[in-house]
Parts: sequence; C-alpha cells; structure tokens
Amino acid sequence: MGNRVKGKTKKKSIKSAISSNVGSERKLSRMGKKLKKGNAGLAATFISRSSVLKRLQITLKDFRRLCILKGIYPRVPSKSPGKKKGQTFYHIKDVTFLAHEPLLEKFREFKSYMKKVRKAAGRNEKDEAARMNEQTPTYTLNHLVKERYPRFQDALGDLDDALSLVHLFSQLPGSGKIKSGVVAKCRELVEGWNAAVVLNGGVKKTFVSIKGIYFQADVQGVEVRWLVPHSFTQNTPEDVDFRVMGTFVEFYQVMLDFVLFKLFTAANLPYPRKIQGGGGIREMLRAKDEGVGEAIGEDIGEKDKSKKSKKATDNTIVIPSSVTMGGDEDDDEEDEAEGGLEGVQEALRGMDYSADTDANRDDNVDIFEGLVFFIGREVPRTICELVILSHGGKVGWEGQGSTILPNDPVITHFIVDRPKLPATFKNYPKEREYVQPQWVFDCSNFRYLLPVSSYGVGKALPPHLSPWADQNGYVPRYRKEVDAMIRGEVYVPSPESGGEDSEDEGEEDVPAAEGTESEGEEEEEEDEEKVGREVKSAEDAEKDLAKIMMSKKAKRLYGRMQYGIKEKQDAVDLLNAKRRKLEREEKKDAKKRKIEIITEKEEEEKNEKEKIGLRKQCIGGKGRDEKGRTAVKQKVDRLKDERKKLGKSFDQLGGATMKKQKKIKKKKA
Amino acid sequence: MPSNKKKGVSRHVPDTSLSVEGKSVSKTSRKSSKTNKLPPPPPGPEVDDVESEVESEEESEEESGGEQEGEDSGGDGYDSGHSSEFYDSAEEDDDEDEGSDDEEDEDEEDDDGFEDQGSDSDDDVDDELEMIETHTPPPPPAFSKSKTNPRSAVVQREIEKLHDSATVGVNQSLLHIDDLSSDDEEGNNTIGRVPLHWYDEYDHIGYDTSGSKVMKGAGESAEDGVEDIFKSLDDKLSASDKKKFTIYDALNGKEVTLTPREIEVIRRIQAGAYAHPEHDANPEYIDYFSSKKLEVGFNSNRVEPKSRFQPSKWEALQVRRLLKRLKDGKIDMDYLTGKKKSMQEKKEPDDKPREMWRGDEEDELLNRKAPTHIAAAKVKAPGTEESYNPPGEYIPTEDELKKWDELDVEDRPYGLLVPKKHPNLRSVGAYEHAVRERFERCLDLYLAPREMKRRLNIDPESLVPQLPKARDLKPYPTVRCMKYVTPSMEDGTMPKIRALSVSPDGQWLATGAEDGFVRLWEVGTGRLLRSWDLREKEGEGEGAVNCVAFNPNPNHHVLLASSATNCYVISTGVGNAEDSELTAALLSIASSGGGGGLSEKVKKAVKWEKFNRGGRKPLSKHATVEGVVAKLSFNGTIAAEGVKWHEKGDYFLTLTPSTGASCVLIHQLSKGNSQQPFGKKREVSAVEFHGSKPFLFVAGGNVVRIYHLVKQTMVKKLYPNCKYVTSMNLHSTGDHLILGTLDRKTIWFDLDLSDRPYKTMKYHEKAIRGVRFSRKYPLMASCADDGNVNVFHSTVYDDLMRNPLIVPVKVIRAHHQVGRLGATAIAWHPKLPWIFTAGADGATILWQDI
Repeated sequence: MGNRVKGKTKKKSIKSAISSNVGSERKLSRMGKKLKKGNAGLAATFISRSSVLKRLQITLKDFRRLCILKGIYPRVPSKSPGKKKGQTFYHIKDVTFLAHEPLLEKFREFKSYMKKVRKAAGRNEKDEAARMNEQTPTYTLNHLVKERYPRFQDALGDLDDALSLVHLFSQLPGSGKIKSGVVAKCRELVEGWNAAVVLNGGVKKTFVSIKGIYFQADVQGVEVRWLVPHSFTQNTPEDVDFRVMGTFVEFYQVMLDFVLFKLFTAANLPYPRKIQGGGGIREMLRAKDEGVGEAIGEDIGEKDKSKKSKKATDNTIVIPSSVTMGGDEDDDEEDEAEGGLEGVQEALRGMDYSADTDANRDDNVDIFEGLVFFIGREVPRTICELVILSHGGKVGWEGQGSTILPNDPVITHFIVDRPKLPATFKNYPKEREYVQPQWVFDCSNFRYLLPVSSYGVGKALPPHLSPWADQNGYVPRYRKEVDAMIRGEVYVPSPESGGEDSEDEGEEDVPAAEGTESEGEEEEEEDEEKVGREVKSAEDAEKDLAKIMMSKKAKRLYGRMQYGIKEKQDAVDLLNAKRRKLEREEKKDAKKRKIEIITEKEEEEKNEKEKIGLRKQCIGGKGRDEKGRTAVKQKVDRLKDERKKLGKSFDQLGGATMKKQKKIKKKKA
Repeated sequence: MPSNKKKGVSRHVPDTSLSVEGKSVSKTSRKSSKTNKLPPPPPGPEVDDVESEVESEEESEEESGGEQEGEDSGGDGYDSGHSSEFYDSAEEDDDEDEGSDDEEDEDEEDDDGFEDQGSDSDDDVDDELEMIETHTPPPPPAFSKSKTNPRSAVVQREIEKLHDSATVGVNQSLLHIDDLSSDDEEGNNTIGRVPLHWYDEYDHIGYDTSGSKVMKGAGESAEDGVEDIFKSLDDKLSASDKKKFTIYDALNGKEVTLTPREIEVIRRIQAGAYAHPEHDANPEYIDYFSSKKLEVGFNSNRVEPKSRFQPSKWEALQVRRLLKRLKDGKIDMDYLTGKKKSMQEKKEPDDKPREMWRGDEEDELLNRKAPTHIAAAKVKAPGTEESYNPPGEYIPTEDELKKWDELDVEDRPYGLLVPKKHPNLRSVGAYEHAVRERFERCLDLYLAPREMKRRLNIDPESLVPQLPKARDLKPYPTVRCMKYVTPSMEDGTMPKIRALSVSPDGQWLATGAEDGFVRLWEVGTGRLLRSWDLREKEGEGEGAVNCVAFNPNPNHHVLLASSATNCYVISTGVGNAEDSELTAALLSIASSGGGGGLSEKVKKAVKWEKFNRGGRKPLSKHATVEGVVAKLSFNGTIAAEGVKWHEKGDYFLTLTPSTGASCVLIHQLSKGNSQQPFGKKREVSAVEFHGSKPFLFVAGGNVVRIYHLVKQTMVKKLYPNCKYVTSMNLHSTGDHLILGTLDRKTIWFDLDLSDRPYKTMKYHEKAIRGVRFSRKYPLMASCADDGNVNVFHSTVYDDLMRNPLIVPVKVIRAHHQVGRLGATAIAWHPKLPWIFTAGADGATILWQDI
C-alpha cells in the first residue's frame, strides 16, 4: 500500500492469467460449442437395448411385450456404433414411438394396481384381494392395428404369421400356460377365417406336409399362406416361452378380428357371428336375415357368372401368341394343320417347370363344380371342406350339421381313409367313387380331375407333391406324368432327365411302333448334339477367356453365383440319381416277382401233373408203367439216376469223390 | 297334473273394498294402458267390512260344498283343478290338508299368494312379470252364461252374489273369484328356480323328463288338450270382446293370456299400490280410543328431545360410507340399477371389431415420420420334401441320416424335419416340433435385427464382359508348329530350358538350359546350329544358364548369356561378312579383357575377363565352341531376365539382386566399360531400358521407379500393388509397361495415364515367369508356372483418350509342370505373329498363326 503512487494503475502480477477482453459467452459463440460424443450421426440414431430400457424406464419383460405389440424390431445400422460384437440396436425414432405409446402408461398402471392387490392378499384380506383382482385395469389394442397396418393390404400381407400362430393356438389345450378363453377365441377366428377364405375366392393351393397342412389363398390380390397343424395333441417343449407367443396371439387376435370384420362386411355379412353345432363353413356364410341372404346369393351368382365369362375368354389365351391356335381344337379341326398342334405341344414342352406351372392353366377353374363329396368321419373335415368348397364342390359329412346323408344318391365322391371299405357301405348306392383324401388335394393343386383309380381305398398312393416349385428346380417324375396327362399325352422319360439308365432301360417302356421311329431321330439328334457340344465348348472357351477380363469384384460375384447355381444343380443331380436307383430297384423287384410267380406256377403245375400221374398209375394199370415198374420203384430209379448225374458232375468238377478215389488209388499203390 | 294344486283364497274375498287412484293408471306403460280399457274401479266406497266378510265366508263355504258335490258327481277331467281348489280352500281353514302342505304353510306365513310368487325372482322385476302365469282363462259373463258348466255356474253365482252385495265397491270382475295363481309349475320344465337368463345363450331352456332339450318357443305345441280347449275358448272371447291380453311365458315358452284380474294386479303393482284388488288400502279409520280420555301419565307431558328433530348422525354416517364405497367402485351403480346381472360381471371392453380401413390411408401415410418399415421376410414355401408322402428320392438314406445327426440343426438341409413316407393320411401324427418352430419364428419376428438388403437379381452371364471375338483379332499364334529338340542330359532327363531369345532378324533362336549350355537354333528348320558349354568346369552340373539375350542391333551378331555369377559375351558368328566385321569391331575391346578405366566401386562389383576355352569339345559335329568372347564375373548371382540390351545394341544391363548398391550395372560393350548408376543399396527384382529415351525402369519392393539416366534423377514412381515382380516388358511405343508377378498378376501400366495400374489381371494358376509384348503385332503374352501361355490382343492407341484394348485370345497349354516350374520363358518372333515358348519339361516350341 505504501509504495503505491496515486493515479497509477496497479500492475497485475506476472502469475495472473492473461485474459482477453472477450467474455466466456462471446468466446463460446465465436468458437462454437464443443461437440459431445454420441450426439450426432449413427451413435445418436441407433441405441442399444439396455439404453432403451433405461430411457423408457421399463423392465425387459414389459419392453418385450411392447415391442411385440407395437411391431418394433431391432435394426442393423450401416456401421455398428457400439464396441461390442453382436449387439442389437434400435432406431431412436422407434424408441420415441414406444415412449409415446399409451399402452406404456397402462402397463405402469397395471403394475401398481397389482402391487395393491398383492398387498391386500398379503394382509390376508381375501375378499378384498379377489374383488380388486377382478377390477384390474384392462387395455385394448385396437389402435395398434391401424397404426401398424395403415392400409388393409398391409394387414393382409402380415397375415401369414398371424394365421399360422392362431391356428396352432386353436389346437393347444386351454389349460395351464394358455388361458381357455384365448384358445376359444382362436377357434372362433379360425372358423371365421375359413369362411372368409371361401368368400374371397377360396384356397388356391393345399399341401399336406409332415408339419401340418399348408394352404395358400389369394385374398384381394395378396397371397396368404398359412399352416394348420395336424389336429393332435401338440408337444409343448419346456423351454418354449409361452408368454412371448401369448403376446403375439393377443395382438394377432385383435388384428384378425378387424381383418375378418372387413372381409365379412365387404360381403354384406354380419360379423362377429356365432354358429353353434357343426354347421361347417356354409353355415357360417349363410346370412341370418333372409333379406341379406338373398342379396348375397345374388352377389355370389353374379360372381360365378363373371368367373365363367372370364373362363371363356381365358381359354383362348392359354398358349403363347407365337403359336397359332384358334380356340378349341374341335371347332377348327379342319383349319388347323397338324403342324399347328405340334407347335402347341412344343410350346407346352418348352415351358419351364420351375416357373409356376399353374400360370398357364386357368386359375379360376372350379374343378369340383357339380361334384358332391361326402367326408367320412375318419377324415379331417374342415380341411377337406375348405378345399372342396373353394373349388366349387358340395360337401356332406358324417355328424351334426350335414345337409347330405351318407346314403344320398347325389354323392359322387366318398372320401374314405380306411384300409378297406366297411361292410355297411354295401348298402349305399354304387355310382359313387371311394377316394382317399389325397385325391382332393392333388386335384386342387393340379387343377385337374385326376383318375380315381390310383387313389382308391387301401391303395398305395402316388406321391403327394408340393404345389410350390422346389427351390432347387427339381421336378419330380409324378408332376411330369400328370402334366403330360393334362396335355393328353403319355409321359415318356426323356433321355436328358433319365440319363444313362433311361437309355438302357427306357427301351422297354417305349412302345415298339414309336421306338422304331424314334431311333432314327435319335441318331440324328445325337449328331446334332455332337456338333452342338463342340460349338458349346468353343463358346465356353471364349467365355473363359472373357472371364479373364472381369474385374475382381465382378469375378467374385460371378463366382458366388456360380457356386449357388452349382449347389442347386448338385441337389437336383443327387435327387435324380436317387430316383434312378429306386426305379432300377423297383424294376428288378418286379422282374423277380414275375419270375418267382412263374416258377411257382410251373412247380405247382408239375406237382399237380405228377400227382395226377401217380393217381392214374395207382388207379389204372395197377401202378405199373410200360416197363412194368411200380410207382415206388419208378421214384427210386429216378432218384438213383439223379444221384448218379450229380456224382458225375461232381467228379467232373474235381469234387471230393475224386480226391477219395485218388487216395484209394494211392493206398492201393 | 300339477295344476290341480291351486290355492284357495276364498277367505280373501271379504277384502273387497279397493281404491285405485286414477293417476296411477294413466301413468302406466303400454301394458297398463290396455288395462285402462277395463271399467275403472269405482272409488273406494265405504264398506261394512264385518258384514261382508261374514257373508262371503258363508257363501264360499256353500259354494265349496256344492262344488264338491259337482266334482263327485261329474268327475270331469278338465275342471277338476278348480274343484279341488275350492275343496282345498274349504279345508284350508282347518289346516288339515294333506295334498298341499307346503303351500298352505306359505299361505300361513304370507297370507298372500302374490307376494309368494314375487319371491320367485326377487332380483328382477321384469322376470317377475314374466313369471306370473295363470293357465286358466277368465270366466267372463258371456262365457258363463252360454255354457252350462258346473264350475262356471258356481263362478257365475258367486259373481252375481258379489254384484248383489251393494257393499262391494270394486269392479266385480276384478275380484278374485276362483284362485290366486299358484307359484307351482304346471309346465313341463324342470329347471327349477334358477334365473332364466342362465339360458340366454342357448336355444333351449332346461330338459324335460325324458332328458331331451326343451327348445325355446316350442312350448306351444306341447300343451295338452285341456289347454287347447281353453285356448279356443279364449279365441272366441277375444273375438267377442277385445280384452285379450297375452304375455309370453319364457319358462315354458308359451303365450299366456292374462285375466282382467291379473291385469289389474299388475297395474296395481306398477302403481305401487297393494297388489290385491281386495285389499283395502285405506280402511275406514275406526277411532277406538279418541272418544276415551287418555289418562295423564308420568311421561305424558314430556317435551320431545331436540335430537328427534335433527337429522340422524348415524344415518349420515351410513350415507357417507355408501358414497365412499360408490366412489371406490366397491358398489357398482350398474349393478344397483340392474344394468348388470351381478357384481362379478366385468364391464365388457369396447374392442368390438369395427370398420378400420376406409381406403383413405395414403394421406395419413405421408405424415408418418417413422423410419422406413422393414417387413419381416416371409417363410419359404415348403418343398416336396415336407410332404407326408414324398417321392422316394426325397427320403434320406441311412448314411445321410447319420451325417445329419452330426450336423447342427441349422446346417441340415431340412432343419428339424426328417422326410418320411406315410402310406396314407390317417397315419400322419402330430409334428413334434410344431410349437418350437412357431416359437422360433416368433422370436425371429421381434428379436432379429432387420436390414434392407438389395437382392442382386442379375443374370450371372451379364457380368462377363462383352469382348470382340478372338477370330476377328487374328493373327495370333494358335498352332504348335516346330519343336526344337534339346538333347537330353547324361542321366537321360531333359534339361529345363531357362531362357529364350530370338535374333532381331528372326532367323536364330538361342536357348539357355539348366545343363549349362547355350544353344543356337535355326528357327526355320529347327536345326541346332551351335552350342556353348558355359559351365565353370566341364562335367560339373553347376551353372545353369538363366538368361540369354540377342543384341537388338541386326548388324551385331552378339549374344549375352548369364550363368550363375557370370555373364558371357558370345559372338554367334552367323552373320554375313560385313556384319561379322561390324561385330568384331564391337567386340574388339571386350574380347581383350575389357577396356579398363572402371571406377573403384565398379571394380569391386564386376570384372571383365577374356574367356578361357579350356579345351572343351563341341557337343555335335555341327556344334562349335568357338565364339565366346568375354566373361563378366559378378559378386552375386545374376537374376533371371537379369541381362537386358539397350535398343541400340551397345549398352546392356545386368542385375544381381543380392549385391546391394551395385545390383544394377550398366555396361558398354564397345568400350568394355561398366557403370554403377545407383549409390544406395536397394531391392531390385527387374530392370528395363526405355527404347528411345534415356529412361531406366527399376522394379523393386512394391514400386517401379523410372530414372532419367542423363539427369540422374527419378522421374516417376509406379505403384503396382503386387508382391514380387518377376518380369517386366515395355511396349515398343514406350508408353505401356507390363509386369508379371509372383502373386500371379499381370499388371498393365499406361504410363501417360496414372501411376496406378490400368489393368490388373489374374488368370494364371501359378507364378508368372515372363511377360512380353510383340514388337510388331498388337500382341502380348505371359507364361507361368502352371505351364500355360496366355496370348492377348493388345491394341494401343496414339489417342490419349482411348484406353488400350486388351482381349484375351488364346490360352496355349504349352508345357507341363516339372517340379514347381512350368513354362519358363517366352519370346515373340520380331517380324511374325509367332511365339517361342520354353518350359521346364525341356521343350522349346514355336507356335504359329496358321
């Protein structure tokens, strides 16, 4: 203080920081704020599940339920923002979407309410607890349906899983882990859906697999495929979490309800509706009010008409336009040269199997139109009913609700799944066919009434094929046979598909007349093939050369593609090889059986002849032949001769007797 | 028939006085409005009750007696009910009846049949209404007059009597004259006293005695004959006076016609009055005591306490409690008001399906801000292998099954499924894994991270580039034309040919072999003209020739050959006289042991010597040992392709990779001199002169460096991105460079374009040994250890904008592999589209373009 001179400013110490005139705020505005990590970019848009839980402040269980109900799923970020491997990330917007969900509040409410209930129960206030338990807050999922499926088409597109799960649940026992109400509701939905399918053009494809029965329907232009498990008690593994499935079912039930409502109301039918007793799908579709019913009847009639007219137009466009063919063959027989027909057949042959084979057939053919089916009680009814109704047939069944009785003469096909027809069936009219259920499915898949003969009661069935083309492009033999049958031809295994064996064995199958013609052709073809092969190899060589110039990326991609193609081809080759082997074995077996049968017959005949002869000898001529021997003597002589012969042959072969003789000789010597 | 047990109520008859307010009648609903048609009951008159009671009792007794007689005598089936009724009623007073004990008891308790009936369903008024039933139609006067029925006669009499008695002020027809209806059922239903709404959801109500369902609404037909008759009578009545009033008996499912009396009863109940018309609601006040003077007692004059005039606290408490319970939802108003049938019943949530999609969703979709929805992938369509009856080829063999067992479920071809053949549909059982598979699908739906992946849907053949056809790019060598047969070694094996060179006029071919010989062949005839043994000592296997190079100057017939650490200058001696002179002039200094004047550094690296023939003999009579002029010996081994001529034919390069800074040396043949261009140690694997400019290309490490020899600077660096350059060749224009590498790459550099490769190709299966441009034709070739020689068409354009055209035209499978080596060297014919190849199999072949 003392040193300080008045008027002079005090100098700051050297140690004090040199501060600029700029304040901290201005500094910030000039420099910009320091960016914190994780506030922008990928790190901000994708967050891990644990941080989602933190943000939403819910338990994992609730989060899981919410995700299932809201249809929120983790996403794969373009570059993983986390350090851990295999971490899952949710989009930040999805998370905020969850955060604003009213259900979240409901969950919390429920949780706190249940705490109260538990408290009451803990105090041993049983009545109070029971009363409170009944008053637990409930929630609805209606708003979620619209939210998840803004358009009806979206909902239809997501039906596959919903239907499969609901069908499964409808067959689970309604006790223990699953509430009976859920199962009952599922059953109701299943009934409703079956009816809705029939309303909307019916089932297009059916496939009985080991896993259950697959159906495919085309509902308003959306393909829906679902799996109906076989109706037996399902095995419920211990480690399957039914809470997860239950949550899915909870939502799917609501969603299906709305979908069915839409489908039913579009057809002027009331929904929901309860049908008591085994009324079947028809009953479901019958309107309660007669007025409504009439309207529907008219509608259906109109639909049918339009369908038919469509058919008529479609018939003419079956064959590609490159081939000249005018409508039905019957009408234009004279105009059409044979060449035209050949062309058609060629065109048909050329069609790719792996591509949807049904595409060239009329999709709307009601193959069962005019047929009346009766379903035996051992056959799964709803499945058959659904298929038959979808294709225009009429159905009756044993039991409640059927409009047709088993002895009705109207019935054309009786579906039976028994080893043989029971005796009581003899009283029924004889005009009907008895078929196994597979006939119905195969007919509907091929859109063609297959001959009933191979599907008769107790017969070994032809293979049941998937209506969807195999992924590797393999076409089973039966499909080829049926396709040929549909074209009105007889299937002859082609040398390409048959390979070597068909050349050596296939000759027997080919009728002789055709064989002579085809041989010459084959030779020509072979020559052509040789030339073709050379050309092909040259082309291949050229391609191999061109591959040198491919970029690394393209080369890798090409390699991967070729790998995939090769794998498929390998699978097809394996199947072909196995098939050929089986066919060969079958043929051998058949031949063996033939030979055995023949030899057996011969032996029998021989024996019989001998017997007759013996008897004759015994009866007439007092059992003596022309040499005067008795029958017994004859036999003895014959046996002696045989032994001699055997001995000779044995000696010739240098058998044991020879050795003995030699030994004897040696001894003698 | 149970209907016999009707209750006698004759003793109620005396209570005939009745008063009904007109208001209440008018207030009643539709049903009661019908009753309005009835003659309104006269306002309650004053009745001498005592008298009337006595009278009526007498009457009833009389009647009952008469009835008894009638019944006995007549014994009619249909009206036996009524008779017994009367009989019962007569006995009722005595309390001795045996047939209907219970009812009498009830009567004693309640003294009123209606109340009794009401107890059927306390909880519901509507039910009560439905439950009221009497199967007997009213006996209106018209009927009673027309028919001479004993019962009706009695009734008629009774009514008349009632009419006569002036004391009765009520409409006589309303007074009950026969019976009050019984609560006992006469229907065939056996459900007992259970609430009817239990059966709301069914088509039937209970079961009859035979155990079959009693259908709703089917009761009509089940009525017996008696009722039919009554019904027909009813119809008649209703035709006559339209007072018919029917209600539906839900229990028995039939229409019941109400008698006027019953209607009156209902009306009264609705109005809140006493049910029985007989009941006198306002009996005459009999002042028994007013006439007498009350005695003045102890408390007679007491003042009422205040509390009696104040609202009750206790009641207030009760009300509060009720309110609280109401608030808490412990009492349900819906239940109290009858909307709900029980407290337990839950309120149905309002989630009935409704129209949800109206088709106007597109706009709404636009407003959504959520990230794009990625729909879950659909389950693949099942193949035939899943069929319950697949073709035989799908069924796995035992080997396959074993193999599958060892695999993880995911790796198996069909997952958990094992294809199996079922002979028919009935033999198919439940699928073991149905629940598990569905569960796993569920897990996938909500747990699996989703990602949009663009599926590449292209034809693989479209990836193969479309190149000009090879046949349009002729000429190029295609056919094997000539084989230069190298004599086999002493042990009978063919020596590997390591090096190859063609003379600039295309007449001579020099090969260097593993056996240490350099051979000179006539190209056209395949004749072995000369051969030089370059081994250090005769007969020793050391010293394979790994490089031969003809002098590019057509006038100089000089060949360079290297073997191990030595490089030899060979005068081929095949030129004409003039050329021989020129060659001799060129080699004059070299043949005398070098020109000297080498720097100190270079002296350490290389030594020029005269070649000592050492008495070697020619291999054949045509061969010669003449011609080797000079020898340069180095510190290290000379690399393959380690000797390169400059275009002018005076300078040449040698490369000895292991010798550090002196690895690359430039020699001048005419002066017998050597120079060392680099001062630093460096890694070098290939060298090349530029044809027209003073450039030197040096490949080493990962880089190709281009040096300017005059300026002594590095001009450019190229980055081939390869491991080890084995061979380098410059295009005759000097603008393009190709490299062959150990990692099988052929790298093309367009020097004008970039320091990165223009094209890197990888087509050989093994390391590349040589790459060469043809001098005259747009051709390029490479040879590799896999024994193949690939020939490319390679047009180079002067136009800087056009890229060189490289088209593979031919793969020559020239040699087979011996050890690790295949095709070791190639050389283009300088004037024709021919190529010479040499291989480890000892063959030297000329390929022509025939």
